[in-house]
Amino acid sequence: MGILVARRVIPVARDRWLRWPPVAAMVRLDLLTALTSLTPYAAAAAVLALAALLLQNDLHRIREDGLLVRGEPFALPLAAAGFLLALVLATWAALAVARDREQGALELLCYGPVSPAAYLLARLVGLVLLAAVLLLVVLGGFALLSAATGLHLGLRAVLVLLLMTGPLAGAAGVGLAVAGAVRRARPAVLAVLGLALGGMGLEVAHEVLARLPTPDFHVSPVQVVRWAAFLLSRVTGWALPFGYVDRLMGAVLRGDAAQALPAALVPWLYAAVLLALGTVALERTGVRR
Amino acid sequence: MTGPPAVETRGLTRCYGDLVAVRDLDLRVEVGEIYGFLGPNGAGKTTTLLMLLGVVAPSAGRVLLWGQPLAADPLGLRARIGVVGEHDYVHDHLTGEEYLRFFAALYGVPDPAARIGALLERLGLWEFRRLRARDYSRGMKQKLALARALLHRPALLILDEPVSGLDPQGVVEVRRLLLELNAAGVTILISSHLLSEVERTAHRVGIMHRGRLLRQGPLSALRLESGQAVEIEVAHPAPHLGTALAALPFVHRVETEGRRLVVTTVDGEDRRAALSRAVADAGGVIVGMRVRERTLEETFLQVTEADVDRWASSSPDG
Repeated sequence: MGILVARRVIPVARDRWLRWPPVAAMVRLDLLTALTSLTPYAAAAAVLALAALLLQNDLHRIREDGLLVRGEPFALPLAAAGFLLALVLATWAALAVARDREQGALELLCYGPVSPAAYLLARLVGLVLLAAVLLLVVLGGFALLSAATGLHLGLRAVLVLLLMTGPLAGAAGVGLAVAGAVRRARPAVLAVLGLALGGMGLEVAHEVLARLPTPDFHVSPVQVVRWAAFLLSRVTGWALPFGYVDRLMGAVLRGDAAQALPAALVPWLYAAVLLALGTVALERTGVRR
Repeated sequence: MTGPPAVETRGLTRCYGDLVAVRDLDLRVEVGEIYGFLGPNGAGKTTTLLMLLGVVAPSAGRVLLWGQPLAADPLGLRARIGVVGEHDYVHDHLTGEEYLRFFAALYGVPDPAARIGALLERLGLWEFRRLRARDYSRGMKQKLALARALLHRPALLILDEPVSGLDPQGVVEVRRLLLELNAAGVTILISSHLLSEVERTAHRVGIMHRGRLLRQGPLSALRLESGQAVEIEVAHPAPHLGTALAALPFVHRVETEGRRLVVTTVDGEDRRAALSRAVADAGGVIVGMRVRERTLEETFLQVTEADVDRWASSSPDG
């Protein structure tokens, strides 16, 4: 039955949406363009600089406060790397698609055997490969920082970094979905930044509100706002890629294999959903400049 | 028995809100012909071409390519088409050669190096192949776009203003190339404002105006249908001669050029006898008279200047 359905579906999909040679050609071009530009290296350098700053702070606390044991010294740098790279990839994705549309490159590609779905898939694959390269660069940097500071870079931290491609694919998916819906480059980038900063702001607000004491009367306004913030942060935790970084880190660093596997796999599903949404949005808004 | 046309549209319509950009278009481009698609700015030509490629969805009507609906196999059908757009984007961070290599991979061109080399050589870009496209002149970019459109040996070429930005030598080179390709069996659909170029290459033309296809047919038939230009040389030109001729029911326009009166008629009938009678009645003395074949430009202007509704109410097939 499955084979019969596949036999019917695959040729239709191939004719209408997707052919692999054009996708492979676009992935190669995207990757070549990205790797020969300064931005990814600047992003990796920013991540490493932030990690160095955080580790230096840890070392200072160890010396000044007499703290002897740090469970996972690279936990905070890992989180910073995840958030920063997710932000960079989402913005990069949105900018790339919006600029292709503005300049007419997308329209030109769609004159040939390229559909909006194939175009966005190629963008996503290219960005995932770029993310993998960036994560390897960051891993190398972390190893150097570990050697320089004497702080242990654990196997779990390395695993988190390697599995981070999933949440970063999700981040790229957010950028693609936004650019599919928003035609111009600047509004697309602002929308991505707005989503990212809004999500982070909500998370901070939730944390702050959780720490506030609740006044002693039946329906406290603080309680209501806290619930609202909790609900919203639960939504953004699944709607934005940062929640996936957080869950992956938590599960892997805790060594919770039962949580780690879904935390590593679900972001890919999230990226696929965003890719589908981006395709629908791009088909609706059109590929023309 | 002939096969299905390379391009056929049935009742193709595209609306943008209240504006009807293309209205009920029945276009037909036969396999192996060069079709000139003409019309003033805003006539709906580019929208039509984009609908043929599936880039813009029609509000109504159908597009058939080689007899197949575009929607049935859009990628497969588009892979058989080469396109040069009006504002063709060239990835300008790539060199000319890299740009073509990318598109060769996109279309799955076999032996891309040889094909790219041959096209660069043919279009005079070989020595500039390692130059970044951002450093190309407008004409060179146009040639690069043409090379890209030809990479995969398309069966149908859709060209929107293919010679814009080219110097006269480039125009001649491209014209020769298009004629060669057509001789090899490639169907070509050219949309252009350069009527003289279309006149030199096209077998048939279609004239669009305000979203409607006003006329479609072989060039000779269109010229004949849109009237004749009769040049009358008179001994003593006087203003009343022009007025008398303009009053005749079959005369579209009279222009005076020194001792010559150029009379444009509304149909292809031979009106020389009636014209000479009219000149004589008005007291004029005819020194010479000849019928000149109308240029495409004259035909185009006459068709588009006429009341759009009057033309649209008659059959578009010339």
